[in-house]
Amino acid sequence: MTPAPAPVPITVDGVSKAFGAVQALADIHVRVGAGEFLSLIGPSGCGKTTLLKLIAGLLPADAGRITVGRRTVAGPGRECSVVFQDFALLPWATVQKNVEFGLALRGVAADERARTARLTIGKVGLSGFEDAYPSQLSGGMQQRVGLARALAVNPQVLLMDEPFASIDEQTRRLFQDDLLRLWSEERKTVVLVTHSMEEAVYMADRVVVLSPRPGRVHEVLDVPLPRPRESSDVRATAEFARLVDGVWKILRKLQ
Amino acid sequence: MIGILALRAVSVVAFLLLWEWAARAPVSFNFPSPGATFLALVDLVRSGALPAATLISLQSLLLGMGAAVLVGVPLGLLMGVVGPVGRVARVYLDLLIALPTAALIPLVILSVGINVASSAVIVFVFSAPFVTMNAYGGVRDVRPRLVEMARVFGASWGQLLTRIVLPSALPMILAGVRYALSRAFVGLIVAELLLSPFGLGRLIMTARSMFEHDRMFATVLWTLLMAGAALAGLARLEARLLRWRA
Repeated sequence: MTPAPAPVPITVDGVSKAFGAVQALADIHVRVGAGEFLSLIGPSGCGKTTLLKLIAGLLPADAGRITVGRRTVAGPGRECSVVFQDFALLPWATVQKNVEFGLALRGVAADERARTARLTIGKVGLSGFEDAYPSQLSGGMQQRVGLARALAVNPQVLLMDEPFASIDEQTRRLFQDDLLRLWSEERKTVVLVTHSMEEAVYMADRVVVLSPRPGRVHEVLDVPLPRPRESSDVRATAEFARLVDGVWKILRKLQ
Repeated sequence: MIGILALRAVSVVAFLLLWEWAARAPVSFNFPSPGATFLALVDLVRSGALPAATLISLQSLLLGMGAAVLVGVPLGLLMGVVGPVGRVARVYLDLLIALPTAALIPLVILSVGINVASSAVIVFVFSAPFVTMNAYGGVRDVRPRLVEMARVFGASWGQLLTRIVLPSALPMILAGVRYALSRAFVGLIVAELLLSPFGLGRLIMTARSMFEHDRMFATVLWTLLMAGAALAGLARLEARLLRWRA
């Protein structure tokens, strides 16, 4: 496997996006540091997912500029992987083939592809399920496949669109901790779109709060909680509660 | 499972009894009994007439059906993926499906002549519209999210088509092929009865003109058995290719 490439920063500079007459995002400025974990939160319809798709190069911006590392985004690039809320797995392919998918599209040789995929499946805790089809897995396990597929191409940037939204609470907490552990080992730049205030705070170095219609950056909050958080009881601390409450107070005003 | 098999066996026995009764009644002049039909079938196989005719007919069938899949699937996918092509071609497809296809036979005789290929053309005309229509419809089963996912990984146009669109549409395509195959058998016999004096159709015609109704029935029965076997084979292939749906 190729050594993990150094993480790269993301800059979003004066970006706007409209869908017909609806202004989704207006003059967004955000900078995500190399290797930073950033959460993106806001009322529904504030354009969080749209911003993520713009960074991924899936949608063109109407105005402004987005750079990932040194590349100005004009379409999908090799630095970025995306984890989708609905997993977006190929129902006709096994776990192994799903995880190999990105590598296959990029022309990686079959044996190397298989080796990398097996290794990544192990990292997300799904060893033994290589030959299962997505329909045979629980939601949490399906999303682990989605994460493994994203990680298998060894991206510098991981874009996650409400990845835990359709997973039950206990599974979600375990999964969040696993993700934090993987992130601390591989140091990727992560942008996590979420509608859970606890999750936004628990996971991130900073939380960006967007205001609705049109989406603007309303506030950026630092999360000075010590890491690693996954092995300590961060959720039980007064500091954690204070930070979550801070996000809530902002969101309440925005509704 | 055993219940279903037993039920099937009962239905076959019931059908044979009904047939036997119809022959003894008799419902019409010279209506052959199951036994007489079976004996005629054995005789036709022994004499070599049936195997020879089958071989000729299978050529037309495979040629026409193969072309229907090779043309119909890409055409249907193209229609589904490129909106304007679909909207234009759809009209012709609807017309082709509504058309009494046998009416095309004089046209085929004029342009292809009378040979094994002309039966294949009729088979094609009978079956291709259904393959195309289902491939076209199958594109609607493509989840836009999967296309988005593949694009993130930098999928090219060709990769989107072969790795997302085709497998997404495959269940519909296979259903279309199965239906088209039954249509192909209809087309084959129609062509051989009305157009080319070859194969199973000729065997049926000859037997009829000689009032050998047992031989005629035997050939029809044989054709039915072949169609049934082909459809069952296709259903098995389908189950294998779509085992992820279980």
